[in-house]
Amino acid sequence: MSKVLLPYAFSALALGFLLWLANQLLGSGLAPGPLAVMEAWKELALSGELFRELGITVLRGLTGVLLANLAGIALGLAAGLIPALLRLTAPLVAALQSCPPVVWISLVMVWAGTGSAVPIATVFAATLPFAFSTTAQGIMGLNPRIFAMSKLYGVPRRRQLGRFILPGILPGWLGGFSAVLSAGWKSAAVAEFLGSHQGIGAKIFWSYHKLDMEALNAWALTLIVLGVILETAVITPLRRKAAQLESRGASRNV
Amino acid sequence: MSETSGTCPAFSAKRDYSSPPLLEMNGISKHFADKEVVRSATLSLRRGEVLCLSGPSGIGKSTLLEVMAGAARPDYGKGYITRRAQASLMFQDDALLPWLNARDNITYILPPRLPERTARATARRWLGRFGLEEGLYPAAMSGGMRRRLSLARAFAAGREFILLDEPFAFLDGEWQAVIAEEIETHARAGAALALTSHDRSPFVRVCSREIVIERSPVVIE
Repeated sequence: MSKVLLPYAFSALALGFLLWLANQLLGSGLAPGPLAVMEAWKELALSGELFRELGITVLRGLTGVLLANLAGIALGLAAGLIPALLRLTAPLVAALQSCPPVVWISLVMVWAGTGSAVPIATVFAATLPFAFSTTAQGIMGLNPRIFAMSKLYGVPRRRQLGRFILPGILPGWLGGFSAVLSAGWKSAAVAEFLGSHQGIGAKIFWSYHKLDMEALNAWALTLIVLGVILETAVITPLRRKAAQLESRGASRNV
Repeated sequence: MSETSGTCPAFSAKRDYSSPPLLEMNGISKHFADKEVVRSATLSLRRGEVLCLSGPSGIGKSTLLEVMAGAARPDYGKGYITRRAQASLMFQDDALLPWLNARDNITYILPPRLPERTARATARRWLGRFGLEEGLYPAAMSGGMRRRLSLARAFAAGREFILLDEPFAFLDGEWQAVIAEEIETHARAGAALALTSHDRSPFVRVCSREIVIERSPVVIE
């Protein structure tokens, strides 16, 4: 077995062992064994329900993250270029960053009812401050002499944005985006659990409500597997790319 | 007055008194927080002139140069700048964009009205003059190469008022001679130049007027 797959195989075995141990200690009613969970998971996959709910959750999470990044970059650019605006909004951003998702979930449920609006709005609210901060802080970290030079030579704003500002903030933004993706994914599941009828989070809620422990574990397993895939296939490469770009930019002030 | 000034006989380009100076400033001061860096600096610079500002590092030469160029604001209400042509400034830290190659570092500052092809040709010409490859990125360059790229960019801007902060730093004798030749050529063509250096020796060949700054704040009367 390759060195890459070995840690994943070990983790899967460890998870299976924990399920088995819980089953031995608590009994099948409260903690189904690994084989029963896998059987439930297979049924969900074969019926198509698993992929349908997975698609709903992923789509909601991505929509929230993308909207938050569009707004966060636009607002972060403005705040980074106008330091007074950044100082003015700093306490508000800190407050939003420390705000638990349950606040947004309950508010959006009151305003918009249950449905896709709750997870999308929750992911948006949870990730917007990160996108804003990484963009604004990225601009603050750029070489001020290049701003002075751009002004001196009358470099058009569009060129400044495309060749100086956006490439300059890219490493920090990529690092921030990987954290945002991770946070957004978890927020989406929690929001679905509390305020939606569809999606993996909602399925976990209904399994819990009906005390269908096989289904509950199967949905939880789906969340875990998707989280690992996201981390391995998207977040880790993004962080690596960010570090690579950061080291390239290390010479920016020489 | 903390400065001594004089003429350098080595460089013979003539000052042009028939046209107005490219820079005229009177009693300009500059503070950073509580530190006074420039106090009441009065200067004028004419076409054909190469002004050299020498003195120890950290004394305020770069700040004065940035104020002269218009890249830093002087203190409000103290003195005034009556005349200043559009300046080209080479910063002491080179101010290169690390994610752009040598060619794009130059085209970045060229006027937007210039067609892309002309801008690239201009960049190529100056890179060739200073012995640089157009596809090279700053991170892959030595200190001397980065300095030459920064100088190439300042000259490529095609302006007549050129300010160079430590242009000879990191360069060996051969490249110092090339830069000195370029400075002379521009002065003879009617440009006004101001240079700084902590080391006076490279100035000997090029400067037509020298101001030695001995202590901070910089005072020029």
